[in-house]
Amino acid sequence: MRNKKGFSIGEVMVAMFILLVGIVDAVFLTVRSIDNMKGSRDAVIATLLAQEGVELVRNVRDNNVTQETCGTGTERCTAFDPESDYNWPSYNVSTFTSCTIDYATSGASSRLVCSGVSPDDKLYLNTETGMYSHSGGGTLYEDSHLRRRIYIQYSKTNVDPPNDVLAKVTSVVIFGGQNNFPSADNVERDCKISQNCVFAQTRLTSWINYGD
Amino acid sequence: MKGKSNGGDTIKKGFTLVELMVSVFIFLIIMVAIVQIFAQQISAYRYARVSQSDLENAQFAMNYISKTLRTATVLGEDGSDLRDPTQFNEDDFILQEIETTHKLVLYDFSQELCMRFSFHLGEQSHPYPGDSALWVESTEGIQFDEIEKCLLDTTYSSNAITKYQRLTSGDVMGTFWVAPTRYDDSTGERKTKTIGRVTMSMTVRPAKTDALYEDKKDHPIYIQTSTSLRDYPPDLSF
Repeated sequence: MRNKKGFSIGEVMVAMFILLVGIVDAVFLTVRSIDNMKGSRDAVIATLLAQEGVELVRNVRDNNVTQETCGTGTERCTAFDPESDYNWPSYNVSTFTSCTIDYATSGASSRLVCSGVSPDDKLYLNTETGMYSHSGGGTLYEDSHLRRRIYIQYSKTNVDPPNDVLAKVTSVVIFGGQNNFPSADNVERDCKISQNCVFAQTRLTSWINYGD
Repeated sequence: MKGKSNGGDTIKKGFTLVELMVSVFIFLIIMVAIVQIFAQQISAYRYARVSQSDLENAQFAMNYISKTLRTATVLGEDGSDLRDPTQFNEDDFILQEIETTHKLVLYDFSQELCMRFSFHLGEQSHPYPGDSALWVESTEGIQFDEIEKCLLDTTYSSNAITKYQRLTSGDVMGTFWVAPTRYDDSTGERKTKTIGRVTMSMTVRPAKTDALYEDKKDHPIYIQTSTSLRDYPPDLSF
């Protein structure tokens, strides 16, 4: 009779299981910490793009008042004039308007795009120039998985535009697989970095009203 | 072990050579796989750390330009005044790309200095001459009535107190899209045509001397932001 001494299959399996749990845990931890770092990288990109949104809207407001004639009229444009060449959403007392804006629109000035129920808010990366914009398509552009939306909301509801109205401009960027924008009324509450959402906000005055 | 016993039974003690080799072989395969996974993770971790620091520097540079622009006006690119109303249709909003061979030229009212920003390789004396970076040059003591001087190379090269500084780390390239604030003085009365803005974009890669460069050069980090200018001419106020 052979005389065997060794480990049973049960012992071997238990040992392997313990070893595996240890290794898997260690790998999982490092993967997690690298994922976190990637998340903070995306947050930096998104924050800069959110700030860009606010600045571009401010630039539209500023250029509205430099136009000498407005639309088909002969008067000057006001800061929040929907007839201006650079666009502005129509005055809406009851709710916010959802818009998008680019660093460039056909190489000229930026315009706010607010028509339609949901303008395309995806940001595409032009891999040749390295620029983010809402224009996509073709092999040159890739989906950056960033989305930006501008909410414009007037803070006074009982005055006719354009006098003495404040516009609250909120630029929201979502990233990293997040697909739902917080609603404009709850951006401050719901747009959190843990939800892959950042925002920048400012209040713009109607500034110069010629002839008032 | 019972020791030698009767009847020619083989008594085994320990492992045979074959068993030992098989188990060492299996052990080796597992270890190699584990070490590879860890090596990969460590390299990814190192890239995350390096790129995070380069990214923060690039972000700092963008914030620095944005803050400078709060008290500055944009003239155009070196050698060409983009505000010139005779050169462009005066009502047009001129948004122009400043290509990497050129420099973005500003005048900072708050300190009476000319500034220009550009992306290019380092000087030979620089610790990392092979890396592109964002550089800033500035020259003090320029009065507002001689603001056009900011566009000339000689203003910077002839001035003993020109400051020349690198603003980013790693290998960074980028572009500016610029619209200066433009106005028309020809009627004797200033008329503002457009309020300008600056869009900045950077692509951030690890330093070329870093072993990570080869691996990551085709997957840089892209960042971008814009700033609307605040250099409102005096006719735009009550």
